[in-house]
Amino acid sequence: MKIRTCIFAVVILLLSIGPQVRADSTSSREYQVKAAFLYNFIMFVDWPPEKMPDAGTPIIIGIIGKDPFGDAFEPIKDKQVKDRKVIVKRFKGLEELKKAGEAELNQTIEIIRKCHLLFVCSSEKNSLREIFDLVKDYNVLTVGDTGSFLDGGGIINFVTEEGKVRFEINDVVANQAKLEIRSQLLRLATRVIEDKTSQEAKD
Amino acid sequence: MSTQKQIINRLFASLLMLGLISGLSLQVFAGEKDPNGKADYFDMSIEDLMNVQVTTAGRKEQSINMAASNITVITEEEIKNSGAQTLADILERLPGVYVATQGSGIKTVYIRGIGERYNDKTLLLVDGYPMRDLYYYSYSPDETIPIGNIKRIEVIRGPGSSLYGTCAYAGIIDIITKDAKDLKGTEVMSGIGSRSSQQHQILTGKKWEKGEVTFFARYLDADAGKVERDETGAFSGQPRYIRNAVFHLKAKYEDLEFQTGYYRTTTPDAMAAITIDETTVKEDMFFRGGYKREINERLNMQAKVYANLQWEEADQFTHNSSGVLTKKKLTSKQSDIIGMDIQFQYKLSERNDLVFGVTYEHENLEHYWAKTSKASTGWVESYSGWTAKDGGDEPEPIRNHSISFYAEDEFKLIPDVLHFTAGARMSRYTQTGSNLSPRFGIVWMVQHDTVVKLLYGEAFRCPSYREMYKQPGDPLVDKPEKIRTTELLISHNLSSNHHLEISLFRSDLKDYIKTLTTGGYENLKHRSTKGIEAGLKGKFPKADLTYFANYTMLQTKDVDLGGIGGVPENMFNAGLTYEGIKHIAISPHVQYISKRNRPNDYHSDEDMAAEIQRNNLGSYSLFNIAVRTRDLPFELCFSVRNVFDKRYYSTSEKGQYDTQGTGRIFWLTLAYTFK
Repeated sequence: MKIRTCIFAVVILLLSIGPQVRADSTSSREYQVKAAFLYNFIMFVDWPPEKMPDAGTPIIIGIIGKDPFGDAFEPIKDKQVKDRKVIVKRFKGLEELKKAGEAELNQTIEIIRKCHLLFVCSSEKNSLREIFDLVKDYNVLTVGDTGSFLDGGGIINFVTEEGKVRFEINDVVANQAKLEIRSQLLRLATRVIEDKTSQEAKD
Repeated sequence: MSTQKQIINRLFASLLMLGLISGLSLQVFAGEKDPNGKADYFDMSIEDLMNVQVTTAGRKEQSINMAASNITVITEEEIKNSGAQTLADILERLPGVYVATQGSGIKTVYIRGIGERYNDKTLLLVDGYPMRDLYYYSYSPDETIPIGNIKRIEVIRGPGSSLYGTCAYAGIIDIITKDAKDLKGTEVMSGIGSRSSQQHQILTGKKWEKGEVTFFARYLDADAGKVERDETGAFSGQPRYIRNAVFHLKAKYEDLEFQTGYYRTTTPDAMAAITIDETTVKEDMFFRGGYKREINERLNMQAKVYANLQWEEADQFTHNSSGVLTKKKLTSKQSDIIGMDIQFQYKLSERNDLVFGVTYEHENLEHYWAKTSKASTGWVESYSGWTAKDGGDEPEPIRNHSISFYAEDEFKLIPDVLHFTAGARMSRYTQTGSNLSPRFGIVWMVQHDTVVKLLYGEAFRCPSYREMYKQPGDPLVDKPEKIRTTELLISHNLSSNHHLEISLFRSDLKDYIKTLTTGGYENLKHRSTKGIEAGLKGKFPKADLTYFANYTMLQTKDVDLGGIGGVPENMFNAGLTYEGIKHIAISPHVQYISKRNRPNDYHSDEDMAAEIQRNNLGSYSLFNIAVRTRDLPFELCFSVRNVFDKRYYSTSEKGQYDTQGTGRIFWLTLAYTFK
């Protein structure tokens, strides 16, 4: 009797709370927060003028590999950064693209090079150097969350410390990609790899 | 209608009401809710995002939402806003937690009605390492544990022996201290409080690419004044007199970490101080080392070694009414715990995480006492003794050891939607033999904002050395206390800013250790506890307001003797923090504790008569407030506990005496960070 009463009460509670039961899985809080970080990074990074030719050109966030974000970017549809819309494009992993054929590979690479920010998923950790080589002359802010991301040539890497999301920055690679990372963002990073000459210039 | 049916009906009505309220609240808070059901992380600044807790830092990092436990995280900001000065001040705001004051000024933390004088029913961890006294298997949630270097506290209500072993019985309190990377400079704090109390602390650290060092030191001198009995016969004069010095050093280098620390506490025994002068000096020293290694992309390893060394001396002097010294009692204890834990985390597949490991502990206790009385012929030894196995004739240290194997598997049937967890720990203790503690959990994210958890766990507590060896001869206590808990937890985001949690739980406690009137102990009792906890917390950003409120309904029962005394049936907490005034945070807090029954354990005609006259266990409400500066180079905090100096009481374990709770106490602290 007690158990049935409790179960009944719980069912009532759940019905009150949740009329919608989502069939698809959603992103974890960790990746919802990381999605918001990516959105914020755009505000603190300046691209060269040739990357932002027209006032109406949207800012493109690319995700390459096995996407952990799910629908975390849904809210971004209604938001703007630097008076521009932000759109998200998803790409298959590099190995998968190679298997798809040269035409699709080349076409996708062209689109990837147009991204302003490229998040490289952990599924691509064995292809990091190759991906960085593909985008190195195209002013792309590369972001990841694998251990060797910065050492391999990435620009921003997420780390988790004591249950909270943090990030580290390789400002040397950012300068090579002609990206200006503002000091407010550099100050918040847990680790910054920087070129001493450029640091003196900023000071 | 029977009491049981009344409770069921109340429970059902409460759930129905909460269900309707939360359903209605979807409309009230709709303006703040993202139409797609996501929290508004995109509206947060980077600094705010860096404060979002995405995982716990327990045995393995995992999402709080999907962890198969009832976890509450208390942040540094919440601790500062509360003006809390002790761990007990922080814990008593949680649902299901009641803090009582015992005769010696000891604070006892009851989780869901389960607790004992020396807090041996809850496991205290600091940075994942157990901290407990060996003689009582206890810890003190009072001024002896500094809170000035706490980054976060994770409290698990419910059994945790499957991963942590003995004493993780009613719950686990894990204090995570700050590292150098959490500091903005060297933090210095000084404070003064009621009755000329003072405290001073420093927290500093340095971080470089591959490592960091953190140092913390605190000195506290809190004077309670002389202990007296009030008109009801209860002990008063709280808070107790205490002097405490703490040093804590942490060093990390890549995957290695090392900690050492020293605590020294001097206290009088408040109960004794009426005609007896007693001073207890307790010293703790610990050494801890840890190493983490990623063996391959699927397998991680964590190894820990630790040593806790304790020394305690108590000198007690009794005077007669003329002030002449008549008795002397000198006690000394030395205890050591040396332990080692090796744990592996293995990713069996994308959906299956396995944690397994082994823990070994060695315990060593030496306890001596000598009592002399003044007779006409001079000082005469009344008795002397030592704690020894089998009441041996020769003083010898007691040595025990334990070895435990544990494993826990989390299977994500649907990742981040439906998870199953199953785990168990097999332990073998010298004192009590083998023991198995299983644990199961189903965690279901019904929809994005709602998580349901169904949890079952068993835990145990080995009898302490006091319980086993205080009386000479074979100990009557030869079994661990055991508990089985079943819990249903519903967690729901009413909106991106408001969160509701409801928990229904039931625990059965067997072989509960009872204090005998002869002074010994025996596994005699069978108890149960059940109830409901409901909590609401959130914020109104436009009003610069954050709030929390929780309610607990509890029914505890002693199957053999009737009711369990001293524990309230209803508890309520509510508080808020208002930051609408620039650079100021104001945090009032109100707490309600319902009446408590006196324990039935102590039976005596004489005391029954006295008991009738002592009606100290009625309900009471306390009001606390803290005001502090924020976002300034310095931090000034003024806190007052029990603003209206409400008089309230707790009763002792057997009900033979009452103790007045802490009266009005204030603290004014000033902290500055040197960058």
